[in-house]
Amino acid sequence: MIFVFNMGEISEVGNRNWVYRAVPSNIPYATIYLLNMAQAIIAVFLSCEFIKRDTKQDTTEVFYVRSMSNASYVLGKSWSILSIFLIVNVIALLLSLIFNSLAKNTFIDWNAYLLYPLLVSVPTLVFIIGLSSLVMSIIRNQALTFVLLIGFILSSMIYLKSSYYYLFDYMAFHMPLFHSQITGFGDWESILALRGMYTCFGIGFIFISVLLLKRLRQSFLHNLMSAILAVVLIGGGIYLGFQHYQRYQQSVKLPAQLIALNNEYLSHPHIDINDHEIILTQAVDGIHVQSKIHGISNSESKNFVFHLNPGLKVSEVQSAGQPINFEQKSQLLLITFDTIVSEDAPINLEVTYGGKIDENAMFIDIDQSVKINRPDDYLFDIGKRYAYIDPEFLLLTPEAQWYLQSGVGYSTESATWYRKDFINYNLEVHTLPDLIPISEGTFQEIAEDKYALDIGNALSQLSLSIGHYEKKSIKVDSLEFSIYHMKGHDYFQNAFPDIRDTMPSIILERLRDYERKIDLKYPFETFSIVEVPGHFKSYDRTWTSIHQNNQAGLVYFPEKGMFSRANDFEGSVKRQKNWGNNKNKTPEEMQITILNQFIDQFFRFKNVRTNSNRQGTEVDESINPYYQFVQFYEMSNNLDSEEWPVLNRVFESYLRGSTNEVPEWVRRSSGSTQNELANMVLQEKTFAEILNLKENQELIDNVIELKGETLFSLIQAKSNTGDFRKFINELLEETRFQNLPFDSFNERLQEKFGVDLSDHMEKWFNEIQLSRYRISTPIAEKVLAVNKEMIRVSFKVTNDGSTEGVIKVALTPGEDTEKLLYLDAGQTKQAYYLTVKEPTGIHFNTLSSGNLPNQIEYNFEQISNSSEKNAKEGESIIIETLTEGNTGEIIVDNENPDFEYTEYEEFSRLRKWVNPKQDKGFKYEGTRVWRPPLNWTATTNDNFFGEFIRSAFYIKAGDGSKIVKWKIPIDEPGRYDVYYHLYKDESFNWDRELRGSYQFSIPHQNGIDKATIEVSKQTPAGWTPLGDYTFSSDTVTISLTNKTKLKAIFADAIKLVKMD
Amino acid sequence: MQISIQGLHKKYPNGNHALNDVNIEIKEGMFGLLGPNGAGKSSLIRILVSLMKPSSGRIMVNGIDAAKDRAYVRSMLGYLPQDFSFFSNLKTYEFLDYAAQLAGMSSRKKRNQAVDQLLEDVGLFDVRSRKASKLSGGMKRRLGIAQALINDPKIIIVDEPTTGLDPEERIRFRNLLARLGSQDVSIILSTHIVADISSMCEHMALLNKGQIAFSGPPEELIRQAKGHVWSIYATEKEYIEVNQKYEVVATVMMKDGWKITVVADEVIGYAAEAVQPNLEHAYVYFVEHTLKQIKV
Repeated sequence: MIFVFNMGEISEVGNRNWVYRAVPSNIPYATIYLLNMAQAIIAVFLSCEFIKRDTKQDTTEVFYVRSMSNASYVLGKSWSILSIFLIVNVIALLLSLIFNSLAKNTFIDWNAYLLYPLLVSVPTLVFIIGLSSLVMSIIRNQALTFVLLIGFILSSMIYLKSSYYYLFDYMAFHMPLFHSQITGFGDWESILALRGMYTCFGIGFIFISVLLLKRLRQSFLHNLMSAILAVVLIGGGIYLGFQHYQRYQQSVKLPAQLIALNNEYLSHPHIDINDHEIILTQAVDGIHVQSKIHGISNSESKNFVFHLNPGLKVSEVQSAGQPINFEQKSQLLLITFDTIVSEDAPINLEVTYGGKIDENAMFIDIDQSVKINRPDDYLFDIGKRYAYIDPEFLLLTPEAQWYLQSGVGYSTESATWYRKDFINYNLEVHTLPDLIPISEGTFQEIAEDKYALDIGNALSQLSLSIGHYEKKSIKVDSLEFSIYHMKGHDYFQNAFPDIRDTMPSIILERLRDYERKIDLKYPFETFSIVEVPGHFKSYDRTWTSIHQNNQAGLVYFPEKGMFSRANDFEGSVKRQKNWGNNKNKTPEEMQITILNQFIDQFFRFKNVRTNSNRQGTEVDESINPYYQFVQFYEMSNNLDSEEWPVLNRVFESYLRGSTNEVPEWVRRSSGSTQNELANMVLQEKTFAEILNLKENQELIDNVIELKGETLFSLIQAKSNTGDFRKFINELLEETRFQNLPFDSFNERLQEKFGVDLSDHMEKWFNEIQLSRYRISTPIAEKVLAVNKEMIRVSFKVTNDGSTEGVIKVALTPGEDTEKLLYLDAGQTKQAYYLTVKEPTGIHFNTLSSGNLPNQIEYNFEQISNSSEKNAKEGESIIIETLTEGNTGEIIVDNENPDFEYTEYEEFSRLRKWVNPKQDKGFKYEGTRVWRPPLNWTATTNDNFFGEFIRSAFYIKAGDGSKIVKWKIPIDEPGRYDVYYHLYKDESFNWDRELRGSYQFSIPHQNGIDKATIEVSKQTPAGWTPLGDYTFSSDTVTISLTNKTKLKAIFADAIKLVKMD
Repeated sequence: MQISIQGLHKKYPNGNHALNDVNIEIKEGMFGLLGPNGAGKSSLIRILVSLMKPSSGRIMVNGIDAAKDRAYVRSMLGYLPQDFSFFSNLKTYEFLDYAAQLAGMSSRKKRNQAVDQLLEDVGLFDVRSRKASKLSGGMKRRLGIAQALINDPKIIIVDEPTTGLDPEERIRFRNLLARLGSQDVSIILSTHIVADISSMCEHMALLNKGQIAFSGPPEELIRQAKGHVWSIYATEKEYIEVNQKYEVVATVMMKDGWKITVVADEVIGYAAEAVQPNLEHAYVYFVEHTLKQIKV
């Protein structure tokens, strides 16, 4: 297994997984991790066997009469078992070492080859040998001992997992033991406590087994020593476990205590800080900070509140050179002036504090289960750290609250705690020798190990990292792109030998492309990628899209970009070469591709992960922590609303625009995107209600985006001019590095476009707003427009919902910007768009609406010729309301109550017994053609027919016993053309030879006909004739079976058209 | 070497009084412990090898109380139990090597020498690489004694060593033990097979129902039985009577009747003559006759 793993993940012939080679301590870690699972179980058998043999008296008696103490006998036996495993460990590590030494672009981390067996294997083995011996000595029944111990092992692996912060994880199966090349292990204290605890317990149990050995003791002293050692070691283990438990309890309780305190002081007066001078001195045991604050009071008071990490202790507060009273309550610093300070009065404060950062006081809004949650990305958990204060490395982000911030932090009482102020920071850093500080802006060395930061503008937040950094940079067009890496981590230095000269312009071009795409300018003069340890982690927040990884003009990037193969440049070259269609690519072209893949990481909005299980595919979307859109708006602007603090994020969503980045296959396999789920939720709950659904951050993020995009698109559409975005951009430029109060924004909006945003806000927040659209089939035709031949795309759309709405329309391929189409409730419009380039299709994004999918794509089969000579672009309101079908057509879709299907028992008894409550979840599931469901299952796709919900039911091909029925009401008897809305799934794309049929049963006046549609790759999808029939009854029941040679059958819609 | 068993009692929790005031003196050479099944031999052996505590009494080895200094006694012990199986995966020499390690031989070189020598001594050198569990019954017994002999023990205790062996192996085994007994060691041989004692032991004790019925040289036991062993010439008719009246130790069919050897103080009413007793006769006389009489 270890050989296969090393071959597959580390060797040159395999996957060359970058996470292992970037941080090579992961190579022996992975080996020991895999081995440990096996040895933990085998050790139980061996240990039980040794006690079992001791129960076979005659065999062991010959040894029992030998002169040795019981302790030496049991310890010798235990050591022999342990030594066998240690030999296996050495062999496994040697194997790993061979692969490690042969792997390119990495090195051998010798320490790791010692640390992992010591920290993982030894405690695991000692504990399980001790426990097995003890249990076997007590119950003296091998079978029962096996059952008990294997039960314990499985429950620790599967059930207890990380409970009580890995207290029961004796195998270190879940515990993060990633060893960063920069800072080492993430949590030495817990590792030592827990691994020490299990070692103590293991040896203690072995000593108890000595006392329980069924042999007359030989040495009183040895027995006494065993008893004492058993008590001491088990006591020691309990002590270590208890200490760990207390630390865990503290980490669980602290956030709630801090939140309670924030809630209590939420309305306490605070100071609006304008300037903040910070002198930070790095020491071996922490930091010492002198802070000078200049601001104004926000209300008349003697008392003001700040917040600071509770690990930092304030020693002195002065104002105008005089000490003033202060009290530090956990994270809050409460200062009291002797006299009342009037509102808007200037305040100058000097605060001295120092200490370390308590990471438990960070991300207090994030649930403990989320913090401890182990992502499935890698074999083992990398772990999570939020701040570092080590003698060799320091990383402090605003979340660490390492500098005084006004008011209180996160509160559950009201969103008003959130304050985003642009402050003029002045930072001076005194580092330990040979270390380099990095922050937003540029550091100048003013004396030995003393640096002053030059920022140049106000910032909403400040971070600091100090380490053995080296800088590589390129300057182009007054922009400096830098990489700050740790010494020896410049593996990228020779990655692009053939594009060395053109690289700056490629990078700049990518930036400019992105600027054009989002229609915003990069606001800083530098962009730096700063290397930080792999366990550094931040979380998505509701109130901001800023991840702590992103700071103004810089991004904290994991060591050697270990998490993405895009950062494995050498490996990427090899992969490129291996791809068949890259055969003719020049080295330059390949290197450009690789560079672009690297840059893409900073322009990708979301990370999408899929997790397939028996119930289907779960899609997990999270904001990419390295996504740099934040630099363009959040880092440099702020739309400030005390009443609706989320407005800033909402506005940002609008600026970012549609980021339909979820690949189509994800939607296909999961049934819906998070965006669509957000849409569904918005049909049942108001925005305000959804924002309170704390447990579903992912959904909230998507709702914010959708609502934001909808609101401002609506405003833009209502402004009815093309200047809206220009106006916004000018406003953003004007208010760069300042707060833009909502009222000013609204005033400017009214002035310019006569639109009052505040009119919308109340409804937008607190009402369920439903618009839904019926869109006619778009037509593309060649026209003449001002004597120029152009393509005109036209369509009609009706808003069938109860509220106004807006849809975004884009022609594909999409060079033109998106068009907005505003529709009042009940309104129908006809829209015409002109384009020079022949479009292949048109894309509708119905935003927050009752349409599912809310994004619909039409492909133009052909572009017809029109005699129109004076074609114009525009939209017009029309009287006609679109209906589901054309006149004379009767359509019964699968969403119609007249559609019937039968459910069958599909689960085995065992499966039912194991999991009696099958959670169905969302009604629509993904389309898995390769493994279709055994029951008719609803799924969505814009290629299905549907009035608002484009869905169908599908099922695995079978013997024809599973059927669906459409009961079609007939207004008048007569002859009808019958059509079926055929859907062709993805399997037709892959399998040219795929052929099969849809078999219908159609009862008519003269009997029952078996109608068949033969489907092959060439068969067009859409409405397909089933023949013409005479119907005399008032209802026709057409049925479809699952008998086919295809993989699956889709039941969508039947259409009847009356023949003249 | 002086082993002194003094006033040894062993009572089990179920009330079985396995040893009842046992007193024996054992010196160098072969010492036989004879007694019927259930006489308490195994209990005595287990106490001797420090696997079990006596209820009372003590065992002194060279003047040292074995219960107080088990390390001293165990350092001199070699033990071969009656039922002895091997770790199935170990080869013959590995098994001996393992035993040598447990006997405290830490030097690998010395261990190898000792193992080879012992394998040679017990005639197992040729099968040294065979798995111990694949050896024949006699070979296994020899390997058993080899492991008991490792590291030159001064006290060797063997429990029922010849049970289940074919005659050839039994003789071979007896010779092996006899050769050892001539050295400066005490060999305690527990058995219910009289021939084992008679052919090897200079001293013996007869254990019956937890008590020592006799202790001394086998000749003394035989001597005490002198005049108590008779040959009766019985007719067909008398044969049944004699069997009912006397303790019969041997019956030989003659031309005109039966020659029946019995143990008795006197024989009245039959044609009988006193015969020279052997150890077996003496054993029966003691177990079945004398002790019964004592009790009466």
